[in-house]
Amino acid sequence: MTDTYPESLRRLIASFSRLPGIGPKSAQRLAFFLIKSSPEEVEELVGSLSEIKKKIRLCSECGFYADKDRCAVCNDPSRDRSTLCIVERPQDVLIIEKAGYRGLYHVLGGSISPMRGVGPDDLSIKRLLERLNATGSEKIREAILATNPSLDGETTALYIARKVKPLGLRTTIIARGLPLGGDLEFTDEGTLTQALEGRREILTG
Amino acid sequence: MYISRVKMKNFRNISPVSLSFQPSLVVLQGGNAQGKTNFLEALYLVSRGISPRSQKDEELVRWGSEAASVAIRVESGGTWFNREVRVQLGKKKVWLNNGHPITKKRWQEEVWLVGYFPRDIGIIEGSPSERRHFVDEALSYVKPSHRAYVKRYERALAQRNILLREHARGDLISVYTEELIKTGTCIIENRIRYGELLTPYLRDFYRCLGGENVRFEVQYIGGGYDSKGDLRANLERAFLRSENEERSREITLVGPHRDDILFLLEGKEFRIYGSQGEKKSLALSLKMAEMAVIRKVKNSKVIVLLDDLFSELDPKRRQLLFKEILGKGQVFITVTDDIPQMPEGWEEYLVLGVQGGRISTAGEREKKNG
Ligand SMILES: [Zn+2]
Repeated sequence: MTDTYPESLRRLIASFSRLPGIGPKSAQRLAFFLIKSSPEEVEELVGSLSEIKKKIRLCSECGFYADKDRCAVCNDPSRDRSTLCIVERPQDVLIIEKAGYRGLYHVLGGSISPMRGVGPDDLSIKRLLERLNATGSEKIREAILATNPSLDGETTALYIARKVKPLGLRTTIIARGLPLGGDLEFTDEGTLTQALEGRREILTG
Repeated sequence: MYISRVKMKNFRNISPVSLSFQPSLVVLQGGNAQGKTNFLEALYLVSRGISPRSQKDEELVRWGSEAASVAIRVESGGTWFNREVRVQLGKKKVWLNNGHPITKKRWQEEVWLVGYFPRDIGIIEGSPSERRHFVDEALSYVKPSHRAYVKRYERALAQRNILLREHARGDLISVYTEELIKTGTCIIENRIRYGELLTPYLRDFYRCLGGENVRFEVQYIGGGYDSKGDLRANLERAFLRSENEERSREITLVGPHRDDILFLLEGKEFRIYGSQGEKKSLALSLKMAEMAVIRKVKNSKVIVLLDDLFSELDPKRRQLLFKEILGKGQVFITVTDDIPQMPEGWEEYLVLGVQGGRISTAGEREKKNG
C-alpha cells in the first residue's frame, strides 16, 4: 500500500514504526502531520532529535537523565538531601516525582535477573553504596527502595537492603498495595502516593 | 449455571456447528475418534482457559485452517454472558468476554465446569508433577491469586537454579532462597487447605464408587522438608541442611515444586498397589470432589463433562453417580454404543450424534421408558 509513496516518505514512516507503541497507521499519521507542518516546526523537532544523542546523558551522581554533568534534581538546592529513593529506570523518577516525593534519587539501571544475564555488578549498586556511605552534609539518613513490585524488582530490593543494613541507616520499602507482578508504569498516582506514605521498614532476615 | 448455546468453527475435526442446550443432560453418541472428546475438550477450554489435554495450539486448529474458535453463551442467575476463544496459528489465543477482548484471562465472570477424561488416570499413576498440576489448577480456579504465587515461585526457582549452575555468590543465592521460602509457604498453605476441603468429598465419592467401608487417606508430602508444623521454619531448616547438596547438584532440592500427594487405600498407595479399576474410580472421585468444592465455596451449580465413562460403570454405580450430579447442574456425557439405561426420573435428555466431526441433532429430544 505504501509502495506508491515517495522513498523519503516511506523511510520516515519506517523510522516512526520502529518507535515503541507506534504501529504502521500511527506512523503514517505522524508523517502526514509533519508534511503539513511549517518548516519552523519541523526544524524545531529536528533540533530536539539531534540534541538527544549529543546532549542527553545520565547524571554522574544519580543516573537520571541530565543535560549537564548533574541532573536537575541533584542540582536543586531545595530538595531534601537526607533521603534517597532507589528506582530501576530513569523514567521511574518521573512517576515518583508525581507522587510528591522531594528527596534525591538513585537509578539502578534495571533489576537483577540471572535469566536475563543481569547480576548485581551490572547495576549501579556499588555507586549506590558509596553514596549511602558518604558523610558530612551529604549524609543520607533514609533509603527508600522503590523498585518494581515484580519478582525481579523485589529480589533486587532485598539484595540491596541486605547490603545497606550494616550501614545502620533507615531502609524502607514502599508498601505494596500493588498487584502481584505489577509495574510502576501502570500504577496510578494515587496508589503510589499512598504507597510512599505507608512505606515500611524492610525486614532483611 | 449452564451452557445454553455453543458455536464451534474449525476446532480439531469438528465441522462448524451451532447448538442450543437446556440445563439438563446432553449425550454425545458416536464411534471412537469421531470427535466426541474433541467437543468436550472445546467446552473445557473455553470455560476454564486451558485444554485438558494440554497440547499445542496448532493441534486445536482443524487441518488446513488458519484459525479455530469456540463460543459459548452461559446462563447464570437469570442473566447470561458470552465467552469465546480464538486460536490462531502462530499467534496467541484471543479471549473474548461478550465480544470484547480480555487480557490475561481476567474474566468478569467464571464458568464453573469440571471434566473427567480417561487420561485423568495419569493424576493417580503419573509423576508427582501431575498431582501438583491437578491441585494447582483446581485451586487457582477457585482462588486465582494462587496462580500468581505459582508463577512467581516458578520464576524465582528458575533464577535460583541458574545461579546454582553458575556457582554464583551465596549472598545473591540467599535472596532467592528467601523468596522461595516466602512464596513457597503461601503455596503450600494453600494446597494443604485445599486438600482439607477436598478430602471429605473425595472419601465419600470414592466409597460410593469403590467400596463402602474402605479406609481411605490422603497425605501431603513436603519436597525435602516437613509439611507439618511451622512451614517457614521447616523450609529454612531444610534449605540449610541441603545447601551443600544443592551446590554440588546445581539445582534447588527443597520446596513445593517437589511436593507430592499420596492417596492411600487400607494404608497402601494407590499409585503402586491400586488396580486399574481402583485408580480410575479415584481419578473420577477427584474430579467429583473438585465439583463439590466449587459448589460449596462458590455456591453455584457446576457443569460436568464425563468422557467415555458410562460404558464402564455398572448400573449400581451409575445410579449412585447420577444421583450426585443430575439435577445439580448441566451434564455432558459421551457414549460409544447404545445409550445406557438412565436412572429413574432421568429419561429425558438430548442426544447428539457424532460422526466424522459432524454433530447432528437428528436424535432430538428423546424419551425413553425407564
Ligand atoms: Zn542526578
